[in-house]
Amino acid sequence: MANYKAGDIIRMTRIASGISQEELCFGICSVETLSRIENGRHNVKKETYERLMMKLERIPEKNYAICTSDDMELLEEKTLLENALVKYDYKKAELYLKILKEKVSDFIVNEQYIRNTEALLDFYNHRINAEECVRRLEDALRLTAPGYDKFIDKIYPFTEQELRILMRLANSYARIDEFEKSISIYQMILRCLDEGYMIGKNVKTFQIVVMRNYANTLALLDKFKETIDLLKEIYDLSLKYNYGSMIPIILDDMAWTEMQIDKLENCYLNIEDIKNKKRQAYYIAAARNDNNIKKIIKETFEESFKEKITLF
Amino acid sequence: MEPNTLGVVLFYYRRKYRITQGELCQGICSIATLSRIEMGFKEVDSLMSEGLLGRFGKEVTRFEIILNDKDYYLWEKRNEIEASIETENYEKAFQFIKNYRKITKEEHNLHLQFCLLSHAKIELALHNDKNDICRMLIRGLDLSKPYFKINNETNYLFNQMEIEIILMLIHLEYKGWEKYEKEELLLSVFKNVSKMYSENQKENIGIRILLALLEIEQKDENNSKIIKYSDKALDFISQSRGIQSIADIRFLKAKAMEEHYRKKKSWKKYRVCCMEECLMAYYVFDLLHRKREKEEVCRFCEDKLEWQITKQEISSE
Repeated sequence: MANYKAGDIIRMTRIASGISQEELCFGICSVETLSRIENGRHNVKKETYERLMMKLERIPEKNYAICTSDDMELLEEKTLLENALVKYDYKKAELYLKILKEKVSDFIVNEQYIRNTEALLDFYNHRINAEECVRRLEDALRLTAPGYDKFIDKIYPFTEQELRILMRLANSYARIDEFEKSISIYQMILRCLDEGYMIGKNVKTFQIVVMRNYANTLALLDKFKETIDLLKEIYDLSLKYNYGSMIPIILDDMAWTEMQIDKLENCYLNIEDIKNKKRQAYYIAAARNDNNIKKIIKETFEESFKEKITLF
Repeated sequence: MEPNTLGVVLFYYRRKYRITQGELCQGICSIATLSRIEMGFKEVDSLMSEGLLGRFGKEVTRFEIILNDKDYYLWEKRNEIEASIETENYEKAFQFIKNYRKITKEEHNLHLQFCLLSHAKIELALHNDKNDICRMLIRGLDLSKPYFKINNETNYLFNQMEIEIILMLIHLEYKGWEKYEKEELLLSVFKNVSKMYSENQKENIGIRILLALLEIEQKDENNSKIIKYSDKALDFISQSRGIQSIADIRFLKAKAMEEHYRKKKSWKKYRVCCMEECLMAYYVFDLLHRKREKEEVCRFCEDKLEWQITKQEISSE
């Protein structure tokens, strides 16, 4: 989760929407005041912030996470649901989602969360196809960002939840072979994250996840050299930000991509390096007790090379 | 209903974990102030929010707050201090701490506590007098835990800053605390961490507490406890995202297993376990470019396990 800078949110939203300072502040505050707010030289009062954000057609509350006295339990349930999703335990995730739906209040951010998670779980549990998933994710996103596609080539201060939905949307567009749209959304997300208006340790790990999904899409388009370059960047970032659970995944992705390059060039000189990379991925996953990842790496190694991955 | 982040959250977790206002706010603010925060009549800065929320092991960023600019400015200054310590720019760090202290002189004690902890970290890095550092840390701990007595403590609610101070004091072998007192304190804090802390904070703080326990047991060569705490730490790590301490723990476990099982009938089986632990440690040390530790693993395997980690078995260097 992230914190946000008030001035940045206002300024970035205003600029992306093509509104001048005079237009925005009319009836709310002076232009000088708005300028100082946008540049971080003035503490914006809650009421002023709300009025400015409502004029910009954005969430007026000064916190984006679900949090009212009724919703504190919701936040706990949400954490359990997120943990289940990360572990691919979709059955458990559905149980938590059911509980959330019963307790959810009418705060728009809650509604958006429910809709987007439902779409994802319905897709992973084979109740809807990829096209329907795209439609439902778009619906969820448009609850708070109705004109999100106007900002595809720009920088816009989406909330963390909106960015997560956008990432899922990009993944879903790739599934229905709309690669151009998928890539433009990934690039937009990465531009927004680079802008630095969101603060928090998890922002970097989220960026790494987006980059990995982007790399997967490039691989689907057989753009293997670009994929390798991006994977190397992700590897370095994962090390830098101590995102250990991503490292065996990226090493395995790199091994797979190098194999595809070898196949295309009909050249198999790198086979020992590729095997070593996969072994390295396997033992790092083992060191972290990441048993699902370890199993996948072992199975693909033994299938590809017809030998055991373990040394004893 | 209007969202009101901190007050609502504190009240919720206090009720959930059955903690009184006095226990939560002790040393940070008065009960009257906490009441006003909980009822939404008082806003506090992000450091005090961290101080209070941190005693439940929850993070401020979890609630996606829009920071006011003074608060954000101080948050940036704290990051600046931490970054310069991390990059060993100690002269710069001292200057930043001095400036931060000037700006926050009239603010609540947590700002001073932050300065004292940061100052102690630098003194430790410069290998300065341990007793002076301990005095600085005790002064820091007193600011938010004025009634803390290691052998008579009942309130084990500590936030991240307080736990960091305690871990540093233990690492420095602070003479005011006996070994068994340190172990009991760490285990009690660890119990709260396991019960209440968020996943991120468990990874952060939980593992460091276990490493401190491992350090204590290593000094006593208590191999069965080393294996037990290593397994606990590895379990924690598997629920987190990190990788930093894994190799050290795996290698420590291998060494303790070798000491513990070598003279027993089951040694043949445990020798293979040791080899696996060493291989995992080796690969992670390699990943983190820790050459000296890699070589230590190799030497241990050759000397104690009569086994060579050959070039074929490792990634290219």
